[in-house]
Amino acid sequence: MTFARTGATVAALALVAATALAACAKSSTSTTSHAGVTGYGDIPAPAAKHIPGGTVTFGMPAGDTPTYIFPLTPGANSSVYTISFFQDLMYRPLWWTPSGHALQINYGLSLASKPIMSNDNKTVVINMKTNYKWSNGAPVDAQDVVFMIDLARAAVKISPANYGNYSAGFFPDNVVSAKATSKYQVTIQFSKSYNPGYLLYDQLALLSPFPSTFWDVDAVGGKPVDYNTLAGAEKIYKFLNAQSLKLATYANNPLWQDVDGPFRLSAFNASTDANTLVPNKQYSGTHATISKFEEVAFTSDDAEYNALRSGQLTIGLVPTTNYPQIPALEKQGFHTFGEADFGWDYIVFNFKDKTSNWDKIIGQLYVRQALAHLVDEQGYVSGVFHGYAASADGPVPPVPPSPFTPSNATKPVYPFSIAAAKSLLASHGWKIVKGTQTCESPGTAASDCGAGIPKGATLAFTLVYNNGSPPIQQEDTAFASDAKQAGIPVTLVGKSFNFILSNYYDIAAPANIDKWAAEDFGGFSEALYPTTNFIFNTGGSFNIGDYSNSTTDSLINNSVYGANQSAVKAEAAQIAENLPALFQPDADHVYAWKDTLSGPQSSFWEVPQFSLNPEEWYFTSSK
Amino acid sequence: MGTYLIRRAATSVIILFGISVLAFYMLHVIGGPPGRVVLGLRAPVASVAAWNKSHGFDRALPLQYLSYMNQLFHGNLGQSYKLNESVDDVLAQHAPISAYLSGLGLFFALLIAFPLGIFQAVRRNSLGDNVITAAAFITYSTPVFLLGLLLIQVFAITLPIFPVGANAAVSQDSSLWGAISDPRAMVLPVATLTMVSVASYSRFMRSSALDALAQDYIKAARAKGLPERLVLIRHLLRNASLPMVTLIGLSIPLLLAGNLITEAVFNYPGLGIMFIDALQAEDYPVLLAYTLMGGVLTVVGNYVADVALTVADPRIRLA
Repeated sequence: MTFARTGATVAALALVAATALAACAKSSTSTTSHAGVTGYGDIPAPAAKHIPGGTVTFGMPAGDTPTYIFPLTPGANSSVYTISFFQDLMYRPLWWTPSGHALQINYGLSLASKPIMSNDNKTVVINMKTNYKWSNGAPVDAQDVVFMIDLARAAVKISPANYGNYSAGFFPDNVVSAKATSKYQVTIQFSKSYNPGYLLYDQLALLSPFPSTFWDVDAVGGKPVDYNTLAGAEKIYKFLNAQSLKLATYANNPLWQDVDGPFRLSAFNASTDANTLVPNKQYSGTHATISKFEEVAFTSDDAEYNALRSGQLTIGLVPTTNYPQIPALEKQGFHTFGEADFGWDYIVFNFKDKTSNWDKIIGQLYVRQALAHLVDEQGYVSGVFHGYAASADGPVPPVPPSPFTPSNATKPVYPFSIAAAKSLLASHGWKIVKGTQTCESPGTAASDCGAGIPKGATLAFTLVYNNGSPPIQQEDTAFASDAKQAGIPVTLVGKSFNFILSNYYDIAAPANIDKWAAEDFGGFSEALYPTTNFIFNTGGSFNIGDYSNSTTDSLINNSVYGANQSAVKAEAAQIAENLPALFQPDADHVYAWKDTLSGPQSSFWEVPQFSLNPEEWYFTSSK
Repeated sequence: MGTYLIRRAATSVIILFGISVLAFYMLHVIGGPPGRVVLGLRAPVASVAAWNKSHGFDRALPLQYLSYMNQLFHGNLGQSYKLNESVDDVLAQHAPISAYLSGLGLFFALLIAFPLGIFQAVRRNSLGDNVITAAAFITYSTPVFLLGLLLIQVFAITLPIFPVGANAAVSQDSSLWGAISDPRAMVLPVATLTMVSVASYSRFMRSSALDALAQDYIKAARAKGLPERLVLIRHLLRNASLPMVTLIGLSIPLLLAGNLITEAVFNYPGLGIMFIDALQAEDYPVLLAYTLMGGVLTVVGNYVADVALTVADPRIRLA
């Protein structure tokens, strides 16, 4: 599942907010390796001393709190803080990711073994583990998976907005049939043959068993409804959705007490969304030894950081404005670890903007390459993010490690060089006239400007950036400054993330196609199989700037429908070279926790990847 | 007076109607249908269109407005897009504690400002007057967030006397009882608000008291041999308070409009934070309700101030 990222609070993830303070040097760089682990900070080995009990208080970022408990989440409520940090603690997805901070499935924590694909990957057999139970004693079985699929179909039939992971033509539309072929075996027939990597990480990973013998009702205390019919499933979905709108009843409603995860909800504050989870004694995996896991709400990053610093929180996110204080936190006795999440930030080009021949100019690869030479990633990492970030030159970043990282992700494809940018443009007939790159050699020869670019055309454009994100503003200001030195005037215009989404998005706002040349709203977080399907394929619903390239289309097609799951590497490599956008550094998410909290290193590595396993944590001191 | 009150009531209705039209149109025209923002960038176009249609954003603006007003007259403020609750519930959760915080801040600010202003007027240009004036300018010009952070650093972290953040009951239990039951947690946010407000109120009071001191009735009271204490309490205080009545009336909207910065710094889940979160999420129902509530309170506040003036000063007649 992927999410858009903003500089403020949106359904997806936090973009960092840079500080205006002079940077204090970090004690280590953000890409320091520690025994194969990248990211900032060291995670200590699990402590031998283990004191049972205690309450772990987890600070939620301001404005990012869970607002929906039923794990078939509408788009309006889809966020990592609702799904990964809340629902997943109670309702386990079929396959658990990541495995530590390695971006792959953790079959040890999953409810099923690796699926078996056959018939050109159109048939999938899922063998579930037989030892998992719901807290009412019923087994977690194949019928629970079928139930979930039926409810998903009902949800999107009522409205496509009811399921945040829904894209037309994909899950659950592409499920021809889903049957419990035995008590613990599900067989799914898909309508198309998919790439095994895409099928596993982007489609099957959406599956989550629901308690089919408890939630199959359409009223409180009602009789079971047949969910195998669409009408029946719709009734059940409408009832469960309506129940999920009553936040004040979450902790008391028996519906939500039937869980298969390590925790169940014991308290929920409808006003602040602060909540308390207690161990589920019926959980079939590792039992939590802590007494409670409290998710604490805050009205601002400052409030959250003050609470962390004053010892009121056991673990919390360090706001980016406080990154220079990380050494002080460590001196206080906190452990810290930070890593970029799996995704990218980028400046999007509008390939259809005809104003001043922009579509013809930006359509030239050498122009995009010249602009890429003006992106000073290392400068942004140190100057904007104070070292707490990692360079990313394509849609698959080198950090965190992924089996799908292409070979050209580990070093810049187009290293920062103003001279290289100028040279590239000069070799194609551009000359700096009165400070601005101007086409002097129109034509289609190798040394000409390119098709459709008239003599006298200037290379200058307006870049609309998300003014709610200080790091984006700083990066783009630096970019404009470097571009100016190369003779490319870039006019910066700040707009809100909301405004950019609503107005500068070719598919959604075609009337404004000629009103923007480039924009920087933030970026995306990736699913574990990082295809850019929908984003960079021709006509993709998230192809904001109308990029179109037949090679990219073909590679994306292979990533989604081909036979080899390594196809996505080729896709990522080609996109990094062909530049539908300018890629920018990926900021770290740094978490700090008290030194009295311990657990397996993997349980801390995965936190910046928005995965929580507090059942594996324990206290080493009663203080 | 009755005619005046009726006329003011009618005018207030027209003003509120104007506020509702302006707020509604500004939100919808500037922001546009919020489906894309609510569902996020990755939501398919079909999902966004379905969401906008289900919430009536595909209709003409006047029709949307009429539908909203019809809903409003039936006591339905709508459903928050982001918070997944009815707006009534959202306001009911945040309004009491905002009023409690602002009310306490206002109460203590007035409690201090009144005697302080009178003292400064009576002891005009004395050392005490100058010191208090300097302190007032300093606190008035200090940004609220800086004041709050300083108080937290000194009294919650360095000297852990008062709880803030997660340790404050109200921050996690936003009920009014949660705020009332943890008076220690209220000290620092109330102190912040009081320090900022007392500066301006005391200056007003000082100025008003100086005007009153120059009046003949004060001289007459002193000439009659009335003890100075009684001159100040019976004659000066009441007359110097008249302009303050207007000021207090105009402060009523602030009681519920929220103190955003204070709430953000002290992790106090009031209306101010609710408003900012709604603004960022383009949560129109919450924004509209908040704006209308502010309009109602402003109109009512003015109303109350005018009536209170006639009670406080029989010379004033409303016509």
